[in-house]
Amino acid sequence: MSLEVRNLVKKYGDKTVVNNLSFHMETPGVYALLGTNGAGKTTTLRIMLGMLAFDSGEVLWNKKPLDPMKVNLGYLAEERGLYPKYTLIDQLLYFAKLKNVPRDEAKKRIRYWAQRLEVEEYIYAQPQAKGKKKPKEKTADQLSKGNQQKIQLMAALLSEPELIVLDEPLSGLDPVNSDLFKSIIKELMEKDIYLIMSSHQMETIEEFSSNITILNRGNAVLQGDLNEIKKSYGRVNMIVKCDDDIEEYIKLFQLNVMKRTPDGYHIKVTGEQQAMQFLAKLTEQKVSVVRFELREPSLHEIFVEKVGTANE
Amino acid sequence: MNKNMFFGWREVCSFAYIQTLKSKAMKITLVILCALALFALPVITMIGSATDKDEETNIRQAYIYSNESGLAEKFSSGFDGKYEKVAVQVIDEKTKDEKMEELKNGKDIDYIVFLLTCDKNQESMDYGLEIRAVYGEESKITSKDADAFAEYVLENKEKLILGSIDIDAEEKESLLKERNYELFSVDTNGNVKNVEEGLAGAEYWLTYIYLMIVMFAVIIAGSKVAELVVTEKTSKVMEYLLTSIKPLALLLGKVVGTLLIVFTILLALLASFIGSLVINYSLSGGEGGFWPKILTDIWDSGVLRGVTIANILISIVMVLLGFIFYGFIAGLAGATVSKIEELAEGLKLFTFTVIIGMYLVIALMSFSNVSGGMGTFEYVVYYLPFSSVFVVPIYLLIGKLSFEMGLISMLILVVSTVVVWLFVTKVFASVLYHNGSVMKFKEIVDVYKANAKSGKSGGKHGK
Repeated sequence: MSLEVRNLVKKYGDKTVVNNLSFHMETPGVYALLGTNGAGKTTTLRIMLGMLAFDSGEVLWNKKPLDPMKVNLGYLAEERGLYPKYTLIDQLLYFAKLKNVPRDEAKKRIRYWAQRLEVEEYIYAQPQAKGKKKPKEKTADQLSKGNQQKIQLMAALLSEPELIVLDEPLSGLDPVNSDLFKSIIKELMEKDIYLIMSSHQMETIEEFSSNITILNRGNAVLQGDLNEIKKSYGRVNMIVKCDDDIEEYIKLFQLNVMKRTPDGYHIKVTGEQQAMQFLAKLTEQKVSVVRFELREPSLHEIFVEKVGTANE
Repeated sequence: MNKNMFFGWREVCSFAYIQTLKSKAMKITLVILCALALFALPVITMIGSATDKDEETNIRQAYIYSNESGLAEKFSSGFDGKYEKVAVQVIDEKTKDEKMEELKNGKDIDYIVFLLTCDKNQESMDYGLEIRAVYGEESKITSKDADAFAEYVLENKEKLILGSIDIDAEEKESLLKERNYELFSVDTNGNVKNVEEGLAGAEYWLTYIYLMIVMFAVIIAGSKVAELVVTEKTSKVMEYLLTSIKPLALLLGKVVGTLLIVFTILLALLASFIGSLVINYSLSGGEGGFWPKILTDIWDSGVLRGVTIANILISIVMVLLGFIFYGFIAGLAGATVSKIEELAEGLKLFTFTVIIGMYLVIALMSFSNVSGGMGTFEYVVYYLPFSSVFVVPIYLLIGKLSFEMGLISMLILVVSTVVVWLFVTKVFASVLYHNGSVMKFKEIVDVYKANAKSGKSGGKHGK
């Protein structure tokens, strides 16, 4: 299996919202689409899912045009949605039916995911307490936003899809539920599934994805393997924390301080050699170094740099 | 997974149907409507029979006097119903004076005196028949008795006069039966042909009742389709659904589901009505028959002279197509709305087309009574899909329209429904993603043009 997006173009009138976008996944894994608000991530995902018309390009699944009606895919939309007044179990069974999942199998899967996502109490009517009215199954409008998001993730996974599209899956979740979602994404990654994810949370992307595209105003400003991208930047981020004042040495080396925090100085160096020379100087002057770290730029830094440069 | 373009419409249909029936508002509405249909007739019968008992007349004798030769005699026979046992006597002037005198003080008096005059001078203010009913204030007869009896005589004067002619009861009954007439013309070649005439009473009311029922059903079903679309759009469920099902299958499922809801309501009402007839029949002890008089009168009048299997089939197909035709328009209207509060505004186009269709039919009904055949306008109403569904089925059944014309009208409706369907196919998916104020018709057309030009409306990718 493989997924390929080739030269995709989408225009609204004179405005090009996706401009000649291409990327591909040859093996199962997680592919990340990054971008600011309005960069074209959701539009790209909607085009891939066959919901939006597009002007030119191709979306290929296994070398053939992707037909969402023929490929078993799961989708968690950015704008979450459930029927507010219908019971959750009715909705989930309906969604499963539309994905061709037999009713009994759907019930089993709902039971599994309800346990996994800790939402059983909302999906199934609770046992009747003595002398009390029989509790009813819950409707979507009785759930918190986070729990609604869990139900929607269930809906996306009910058909055991081979291609999953998660649009901002962690937005709006508390840390506990965010970890729960992450554990599910990890579980999916073990099943040889093709997963495309868009997110603003760079740490999340770094945790799961090895391949990325950074979009800015419809254009891909950076693409490729995340480790390779980072390597290409080199280890230029130095963090130094000392017991003594090191301002004079920084001036001496004419270093660029990005920020100063209780963790120490965050300094941009030209390369490993400059960093080592700086450390040697500190050691020579018997400065007490508490922390010295030399690393590649984070995805967050790369993102800010790329998008910032593109918008200048 | 291998799905065709209509995959899932049945699932959508059954979901829409079941969830709507499960809703509290629907359950309450259905219970109230069925209760009304079930109990209204028996309650009316019970009240009616109770009132009838109260109103049993105290009149035992009616004296009829007229200074016109023979007029009193003409009113002297054929009393029926609760006046069946009232003895009637034609009296002369002397007896009339005596009876009038007796009325003054007779407490045990149980008669009423009728004075009939007939002014034949057309120039006179009093031209025509005048009935005066006189009763004694102190007598057994109340003003209510006298008033009801006088009213009965006035309402049944044709029947009473007919009773005085030497014909048997069957002939009298057949003469009194209300029937329509037919006009025929003969051309210079001697060809006789049926001339279109206006609607007779029963035909008019049947058409009007059909028009109202279908119009309200179309409006209710259309509004429900639009509401379902808007709910899915505003709650953002639509985006998820569109990964599993084509927009058109989604819309078709909703239209058919809503149609089933309307039929369920109608069936429930019909069942309740039949139930009410059974209750009514047992309450009245079989008096008056099982079917209400109004229905037997309609059937007996022969107004449904066009009822044939072919016409019934065309009528059913046209009603179904009409619902689907308007359902697609309503669904598209629903998709142009971004907030449920704006639904009424979004439905303007749909409501407008329904009202135009309805007014065209009303105009046809009204003007055809005034001027008979209406030429081009008549054909426009029969063949225009906005109006044909509101008139053609019933006109076929009452024999106002030929089978051939019905068939043409049905075919035009089929083509129109397909055209609307193709139009909606091109724009529905794009319009679904519209956010903001309600889209105008021109904007929808622009979307159609843009999509027709690009040739892509989502779905399968690639060239």
